Amino acid sequence: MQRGANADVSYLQASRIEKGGCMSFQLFAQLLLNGLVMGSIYVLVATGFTVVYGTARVLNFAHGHFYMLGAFIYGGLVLLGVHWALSLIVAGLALGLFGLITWHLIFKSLYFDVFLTVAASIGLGLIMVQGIIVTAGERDIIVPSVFQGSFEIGDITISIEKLAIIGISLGVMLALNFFLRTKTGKALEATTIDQDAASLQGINPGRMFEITMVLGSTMAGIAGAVIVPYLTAQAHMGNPITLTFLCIVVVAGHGSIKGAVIVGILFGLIKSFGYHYIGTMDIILLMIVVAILMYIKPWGIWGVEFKRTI
Amino acid sequence: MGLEVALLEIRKLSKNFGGLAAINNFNLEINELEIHGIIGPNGAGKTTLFNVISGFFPATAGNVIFRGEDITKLPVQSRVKRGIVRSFQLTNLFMELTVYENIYIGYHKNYRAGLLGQFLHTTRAKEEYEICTQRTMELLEFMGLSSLKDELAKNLPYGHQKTLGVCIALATKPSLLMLDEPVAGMNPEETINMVKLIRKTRDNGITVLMVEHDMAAVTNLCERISVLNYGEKIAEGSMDEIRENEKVIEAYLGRWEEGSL
Amino acid sequence: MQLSEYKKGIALLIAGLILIPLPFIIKSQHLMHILILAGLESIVVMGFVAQHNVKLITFSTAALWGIGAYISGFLSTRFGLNFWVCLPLAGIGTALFAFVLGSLVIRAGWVTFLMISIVFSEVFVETLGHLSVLGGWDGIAGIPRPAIGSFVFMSKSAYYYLTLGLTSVCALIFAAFYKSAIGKAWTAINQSPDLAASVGIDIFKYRMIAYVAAAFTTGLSGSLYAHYSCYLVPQTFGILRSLYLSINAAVGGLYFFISGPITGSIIIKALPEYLRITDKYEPIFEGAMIILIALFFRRGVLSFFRRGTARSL
Repeated sequence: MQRGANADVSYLQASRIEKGGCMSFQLFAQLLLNGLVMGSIYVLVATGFTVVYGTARVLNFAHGHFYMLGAFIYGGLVLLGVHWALSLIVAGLALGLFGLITWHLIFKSLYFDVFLTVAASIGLGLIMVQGIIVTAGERDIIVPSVFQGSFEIGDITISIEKLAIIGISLGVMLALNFFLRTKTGKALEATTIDQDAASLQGINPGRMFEITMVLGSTMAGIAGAVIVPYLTAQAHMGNPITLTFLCIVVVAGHGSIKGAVIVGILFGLIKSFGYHYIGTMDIILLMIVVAILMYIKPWGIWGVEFKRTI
Repeated sequence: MGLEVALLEIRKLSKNFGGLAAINNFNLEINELEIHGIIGPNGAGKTTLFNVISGFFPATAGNVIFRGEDITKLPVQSRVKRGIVRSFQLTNLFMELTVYENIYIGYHKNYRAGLLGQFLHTTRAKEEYEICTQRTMELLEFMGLSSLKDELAKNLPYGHQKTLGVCIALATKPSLLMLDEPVAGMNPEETINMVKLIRKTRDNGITVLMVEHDMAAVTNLCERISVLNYGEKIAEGSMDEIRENEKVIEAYLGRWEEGSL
Repeated sequence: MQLSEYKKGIALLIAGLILIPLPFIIKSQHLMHILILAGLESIVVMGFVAQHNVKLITFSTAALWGIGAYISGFLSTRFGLNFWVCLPLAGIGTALFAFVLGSLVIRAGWVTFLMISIVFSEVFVETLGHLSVLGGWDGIAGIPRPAIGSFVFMSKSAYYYLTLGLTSVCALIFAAFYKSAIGKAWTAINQSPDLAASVGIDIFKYRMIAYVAAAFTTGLSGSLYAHYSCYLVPQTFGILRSLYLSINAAVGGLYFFISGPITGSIIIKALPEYLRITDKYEPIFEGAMIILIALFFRRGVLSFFRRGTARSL
């Protein structure tokens, strides 16, 4: 992966917080809010990835680039004058469709072989990134935000845009939760726990995998679309988020949605506070945390302990 | 029986998957040289039970005690070393290897030469190789598979594959052999053969714990039977006792009506 | 069995007869360069294949290569250590690192191992970039070519022999592993990890052996690479490089543990010369190639000549 814009860093620059200094309540609140913003995006992306892995056992390393594609579709539409809500929906649907297509063209034939899946997904990522570079260039593209302004609670300034991001992400997660309680959702869960038993009950596993792939891709796309006014759209923005969601999934336990949510928010907060005090080496800090956690809980905190042999 | 320490003792064993209790408060005692059966409707948790006893899944609560030693936290290979070996319900073989090679690897556990010896082909390693070869041939004879020894495992008919599976487990020289549905999918002739084999195995000094659906085989072989339903033991005793047990009848009947038997 | 041993011997003899006098036959410097890189890469790929065989999929092969390269490059430039000292140190250093990382991660299963390998790859490159003592993004320059007494391995032909030597040694090391009981245990794990565990094979132990052995040989290759290129930058050892190295394996044949990496590396290194695409579209072409190979050519080239079962050298 080439070193592209460190998209996570630019958000702090967007907030113009000075590094160092004593922690005032105001500063704390800002860092908290920023952490929640990034955290909610991490949650969406990590959940999308872990759902696809948990059910279909597909490790899609182009997932971060799905996020990027969502950002570009939304950004493109908004810059053309389309209403933001419509753009958001289109971005989500487009990525869902894209996920469906990639499933049928690529992953469906490969999901039994991990190495080939991962290699193919990285290849897919190459195509996607270069495709964007060829069409839209490699520079940062600024997408105007719909939610201007802010309001005050006491000393603290809360920007509406940040609230919107958190709110929309929350909405998506609630929708997911609601979906998992439906008949299809329960079928999905059964397939995740035991594929063979599920098929004995009449559930078509292939269909479930397909649905999962669409779900995961949509979530990644929405995440990208939602965050892009706050950050910028950049061809390589998928890379830092890939690292982050991989760490989240590893720490939380692959397949666990609850874990992805909790650890996702946690990582958002760590990044926010960590960057403020340590700077760009925050990923090293993350690595150390991950390494220690790996040693204590190899399956991730909420990981379902699969068989010990694998 | 009586004051002897049971070979295998399971105390208050539980296994949860997320919120789902696959096994709940399971207790069992198996004595040396017993053939013990575990039956129950589909999804009762029988294979999960095997997975936990053999170490493939960790227990959520409870203890597994083998020859007086608490092995609950031990990894699979340590349990195998102590003599607990399981076979698999769905055929699990080294498909691209021959019958002979499959069994030979089963003897790996008994290989005495250390890591370096294995690497450098020391004299000791060579001696061990000879012994393993010999034992493999003996076992092939015992199981009646000698004629097939150079056949690739994946080319064997289903019945022979299952027999090979049991054979590999036997190659490790277990004290307790756990068979997961050994006659599943077999025709009557194959079933009779497997039953004979299992009895021969016990007569050679190996205790057998088996999960089965085939009631004829169970009646034929098992001295005692435990009945599992929804992860809990609902009855235990001889086949005659089990047959009359109300709870057992209800369990099977209920599942039959539900359509999930 | 005897016939195939005989055949293998003949094949090796022929290969030796071709490879050893090669520099005297081929005058093209460019071709020499390709062969040297192919040889060095094939060592790394042998490591990848060994890990893949025990169901450890890794995308940090290039990072391990980089560790070996940087150890050797750093020790020789900063401390003036002789190449022949740096070489084993690079191998041992990389192996030690793998030992520590493996102890932490392998027990958690192949998924975690894979994800950590990808994360580690990225972190490795970033860390190198930020360490000024290792030259940061500018890397290390001026790494000396190896020498024996007054003879320096300056020419490509001379380096070819060095590479041939190391590749042969590493091939022998792996061959010894595969032929031993360790190799049998590896095969068992490959065929069925569950069954292997159920007969008492310690999956963790044998995976560690594969991982550390792969790291050691990769480190050696890294050292040779550093002293060939004489110049190291962090970007060389990122995750894309690891991906391309693993493609070498797939092209050769994932179950041809030694001939696969060699064949695949030679093909991959020789091919691009004849397929020059404009820079702008090259990654798209590469990505498409990778997907196509995964979908349609997964068995590798050598499988057309011999059936690659779980135990083909």
